[in-house]
This record gives sequence, structure tokens and C-alpha cells, in this order.
Amino acid sequence: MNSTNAKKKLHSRRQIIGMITLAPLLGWSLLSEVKSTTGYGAFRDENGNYGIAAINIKDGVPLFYTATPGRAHDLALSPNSNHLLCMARRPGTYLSVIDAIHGQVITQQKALRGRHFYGHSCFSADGRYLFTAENAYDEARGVIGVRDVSRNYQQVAEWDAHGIGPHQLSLSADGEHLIIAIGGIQTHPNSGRKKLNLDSMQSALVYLNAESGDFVARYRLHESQQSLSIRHLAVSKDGLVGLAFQDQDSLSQNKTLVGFHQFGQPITPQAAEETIQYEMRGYCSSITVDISGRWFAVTSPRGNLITLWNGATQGYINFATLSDCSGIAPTDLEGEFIVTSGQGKMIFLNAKSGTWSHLSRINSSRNIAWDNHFISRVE
Amino acid sequence: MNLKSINIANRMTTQYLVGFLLAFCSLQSIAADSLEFRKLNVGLLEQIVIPAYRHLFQSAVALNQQAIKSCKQPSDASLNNLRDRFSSYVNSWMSIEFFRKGPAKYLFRQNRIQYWPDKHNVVGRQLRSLLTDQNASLLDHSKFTQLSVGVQGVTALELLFYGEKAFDSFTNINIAGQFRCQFIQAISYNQQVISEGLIDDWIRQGDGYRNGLLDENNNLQVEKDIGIDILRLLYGEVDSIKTLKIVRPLDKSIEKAKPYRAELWRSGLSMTNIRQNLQTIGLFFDPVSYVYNFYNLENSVVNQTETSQSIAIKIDQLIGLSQQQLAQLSLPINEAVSDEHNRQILLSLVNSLEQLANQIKHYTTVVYQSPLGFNSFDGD
Repeated sequence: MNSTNAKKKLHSRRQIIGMITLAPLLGWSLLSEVKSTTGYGAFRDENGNYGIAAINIKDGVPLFYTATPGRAHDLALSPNSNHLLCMARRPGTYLSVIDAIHGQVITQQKALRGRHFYGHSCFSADGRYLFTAENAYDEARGVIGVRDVSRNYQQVAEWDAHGIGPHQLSLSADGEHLIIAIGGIQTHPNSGRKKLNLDSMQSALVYLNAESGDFVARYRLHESQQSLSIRHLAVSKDGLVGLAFQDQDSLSQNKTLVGFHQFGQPITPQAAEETIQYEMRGYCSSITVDISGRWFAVTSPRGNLITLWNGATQGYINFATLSDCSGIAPTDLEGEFIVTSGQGKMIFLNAKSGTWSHLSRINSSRNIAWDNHFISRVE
Repeated sequence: MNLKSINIANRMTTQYLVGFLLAFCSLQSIAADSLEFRKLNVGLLEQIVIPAYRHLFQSAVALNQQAIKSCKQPSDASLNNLRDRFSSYVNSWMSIEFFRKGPAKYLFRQNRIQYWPDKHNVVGRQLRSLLTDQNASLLDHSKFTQLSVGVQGVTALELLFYGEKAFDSFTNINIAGQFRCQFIQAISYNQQVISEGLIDDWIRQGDGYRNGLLDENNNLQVEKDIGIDILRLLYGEVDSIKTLKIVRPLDKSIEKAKPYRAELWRSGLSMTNIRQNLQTIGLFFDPVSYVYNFYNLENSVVNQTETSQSIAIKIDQLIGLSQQQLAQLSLPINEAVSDEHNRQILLSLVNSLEQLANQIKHYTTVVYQSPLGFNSFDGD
């Protein structure tokens, strides 16, 4: 099957809801623009093998598959080389550096003794260093590993993350700060992924100086939102930080699960419509911002929901549905995102134009499940 | 194989090439089984799901007709008749509540049938305000559908039928009483329209939802995807019964019990709702059902110690156990949560439901060789 055939099928509007989404019936229309972006994501295949895949988003053609030593989580692209960083999922200890063009493994490193990775990393603005979110588990302390790219990613420093459970991290728009989503949840490899401190968890957003690691600022949610774990973030060109939360209180409902932050200001949680809020089921798995920096998108796989947000107003705009959706990344078009699912699907959404489309079921021979995160390189 | 795929193959490591070949081998087995999966999908949709939506529509029609009749001659007896129809309608909704996907999501139909849980008593506040304002123009169907979803469905109807002084208010023939009855009719008619839309979206010739799902040329879903989606919905329903319908009113201790968090507690339907939910889930796994269901699915993989049959039997047994535990309750759920003996039974039920959810997950992993919710249930 090719994408041309797939698009023809989309003209049956009612049929679409039978397949993946009801969004077309709520005002989305078809999308036909050509994409020129490469996408990367971690996956699990039907034989239980883990790896990462690169695809040409334009036509859904796989560019490479590379095996990983275990389940991977997020990926990061170097700003000035072809290095693609693949991080082990918590509580994994490997990081793989992969050629983003051809898929060969360039090098692999392990976390230091007494540390494991949290699945996320980011490069410094000049690409010289890699920052990794890590757990110093015997000390119940979050740390940031600093690795020198030119020295085969050997660790050269370790900074205090100023909180338990640092998860996603990113540079600020000006490259000055390292912004860290502190999930607040204590875990220990001896207890697997069990959460050990839900009664006392303290989630926060921490800013460090990206050159020295010095503490700059820490922001917390309101007392009434203490069960929310700030887990993922996305930074726009203008410096607006979009935040996606996970509620650790299984009995609470309708808590706001998306927030925004400007340096120096308090975190501002933003609500969607109450029914949408409920459908997010207390769990957001990924957040990203589009190429223009104005539009944010958040996935909530428990509700099979993608919500779209306007960064300018920090308001909720619309939603779409896709079973077990999670990975989300911007394409080269303003307002447009590609979304991946645990059932191997990929769709496009455009927050600006209210359009949507799907990419043909790529790689059907492998029957892969796309994992938590997906990233893109706009060419 | 085109040039691009040859290049890709060349780039593969030996380890991955082996992986690819294994995947190719299992693809052959899946291809051979696609007819089996298709047969299953047809069985589940045509023998469980679609009949449940048809029944929902029939119950809605009966409710609406009774609302018109009872409002013509408001009396205690006519309210009781209306309550009976209400219970039947809720029961038919509980048979298909789990299908939180497709037409039920479109136009917020699911929420417009039942807005629950209502943590902030949105329904109560808005209903009170609307009954006080007595703005008859809002009762016109086109305007009524624009009201808050909370006041459009069974949560509001329950308040009107079982709330404080329900009989007095219903039999009151002053202007307020008449408006109240018109409001009941507006909700009932709205339910009829919603359920009619649901069944129409499902079975319409050509572009109906059923046809979309079962279309052999469906480019977005292979046969296996539909079963996995249904298993996810069933898992979600078990989780919802456990978390929202039981654990939430139970809370952490008897002192903290929250009776008013029980579903539709005013009408005493909390327990029958769960019974019906479980009964529906059972249809999907029942070994002796007339439905071609998950029990009947022939395994696509050989040399397995577990089969679709063996896991479906475990699921069926856990549903039976859960039903037995419900039967042991000597009080309605909203009272049971504040009674030590009944709390213990509810806690045992929670445990059974956890096992039930895990077995549904296990079924998906073993039979479909796919995680139930790779990201939904095992994300980070």
C-alpha cells in the first residue's frame, strides 16, 4: 500500500471515524501538503525486539532500523553533527549514539555506577556536550550527567538536578538555561519501576545555568496540584515552555494536565473543556511545539487523545483521537505535527489550518509499536 | 524490492536481518489467520456491539414515550412507570458503555448520555439554575443540545426522578412543575435522538462505522487491530468499574468513605450497573456463548502453553467470581462502603477486578502478540 492509495481512502469522510479518529467530523479537513522531514522513534516489534527507526515522513519509507540493547525512550539530535542520541528507558543504563543518516551505531556508553538514565537527554547549544537526566538512586537524588561529545561521550561532570526524578530536559530558547522537568517521583532499581514516595512527591520545573550547572530557579505547581508530576516539556523559539503533566492520584479527575511557563513567572496550568480534560485520563505522555513556535500538541494515550494548544493565548484549541497515541513531533509546516501510536500508526495534524491526514501504515511487515516519543529533523 | 529497500537491507546488521526474517515468518502466519481475525471481528461487532446499540435506541424510545405519557397525567404511579423506563435505559447503556470510541465519541454523545463522575456537582447546579429560570425556548431540541452536556442525560434525569421531593415536584401542576416535566421530556427526546444517531452511524449502508471497521481494504487497520482496540476498551471498562465505581466511593478507610461517589446511587442502580458492565464483558469471552468471541479465536502461534481458550476461561471465571462477590453484598454500594463487612467484600471485588484486567492484558499479549496499550499502560 502506498500513501497515495491511503489518501484516496480518506475521501470517505464517515469511514474515517471507523478507522482512527472522529476529528474529521468535528471540523478537520483533508491535508495534502508534501512533507520533507525525517522522523525518528523508538519501537518494539512483534517479536519483542527493541530498536529505533528512521522514516521519511514524506512517503513513510523506512530509512533504517537499528537494534538497541533494551527498550529505548527518547531520542535527541545533535545540532551540528549527524549524531542521534538514543536513551535507555528508566531504569536502563545505556545510551547509544547512532548515525542519523545511515543508522550505524557510532558508540555506546553506560551510566556511571549507582546511576541510571531517565530516558531523556539534550545537547548543549554548540553541540559539544550532552546532558542526561539520571537517578543517583542510593542517594534518592536527581542528577544531570554532562558528557563530552569529542571524548566519545565520556562523562566529564555531574550536576545536581535539584529534585528527585528529573525527566525531560531542554535548553532554553537562548541556550542560556537548562530547563528540567522534575517529576518528583522516587524509584530504585531494586524495586523496578515502583513509585516510592507518592505521599511526599515534589514535582518542579528547574532552571540551571547551561554552562556551569549552577542553580538558577525552581518553580512549583500550586499546593492543590501536588499529585501532578511535571514530566515532559517543549520549548518554543520565543522561550515559552509547554509542560505536560501526569497525575499520580488515580482517584482525582479533571486536573489540568497541560501548563505553560515563562522564565521569571509562575507556572500557569491551562484547562481544556471539561469533557476533554476527563478524556485525558490524568496522563500526558508527550508534548511538542511546531516549527513556528506558536502551536503546541500533547498526547494522552489513555484517552487516545491528542490536544492542540495555542501558545500565544496558552489556550486549548481542538483535539483528535488515535488509539494509543504517544509520540509527537513537528514537521516543516507551520502548525503541523506527526503523531505515532503503539499500534504502528502515524497521522498528521495541523493546529493552524485544522487539517489532518495519515501516513500509510509504514513498515507493515515489521508490525511495530511506536514507543513513547518521536522526534523530527526538518530539512 | 525497489532500490531503496535493497539499500535498507544492506544497512541492516546481521542481528537485525535475523529479526527481520523472523518477523517475515510470523507475517506468513498472521496472513493465514487474517480470515480468522476477520470472523472474530464480525462476531463481536454484529452479535454484541451493534445489538447493544439497537437495544439502547429501543430503550430510549420507550423512555421518551413514557415521559410524554407520564407528563400528560403526572402522578406517583406515572413517575414510577417513568423510573422503570429510566432503569431499563440505564441498563441498556451499561451494556455498551465500554465502547468509548467511534460514534459514541462523536458529538460528545457518551458524555451527553451520562456525565459521570460529576466531581463538582456541575449537573446539580446547572439543573437547579435551568429549572429556576424556566426558559422554555431552551427546551427546543436544537437549543437543548447546546446546553451543558451534564444536563442532557441520565445524571440529570436521575436527579429529576429520585432527587429530594421528586414525587411532589413531579405531581405539582403549577408552572414550575409543568416546566420540570417539559425538561424531562426534552432530556428523554434528546436521548432518543442521540441513540438513534449512534445506531445509524454504526449500521448505515456505505459509509457506516461497521463497514469502515470491517472493510477489507481498510488501509489504516489490519484485522488484528480491531480486536486489540476492543480488548483495550474492555480493559478500560474493568479499570473504570474498579477505580471509579468502587474504589472512589470506598476511599482509603471506612471513616473517609464517600457514599455519594457511587454511580447513580439515588436510584439504587450502582450495583446493577456493575453487574451489567460485567455481563457485557463476559459476552466477549464466554466459552459457551452463541457469539463467535475471543474464546473461539484459533491461535495463530504454535507451541504455546496458553491458548485463547485457556485465557478466556480464566477471564470468564474471574467475571463469575466478581458477580458472586457482588451478590454477597447485603447493602447497596453507597451504604456498603460505610459498613465494615461489606467493605471487605468490595475490597475482594477490587482484587478480582485487578486480576480480570491483568488477564485481558495477558490475552492480548499472548494471542495477539501485542501489548494491550504500549503507551497507555506502560509509558513513562
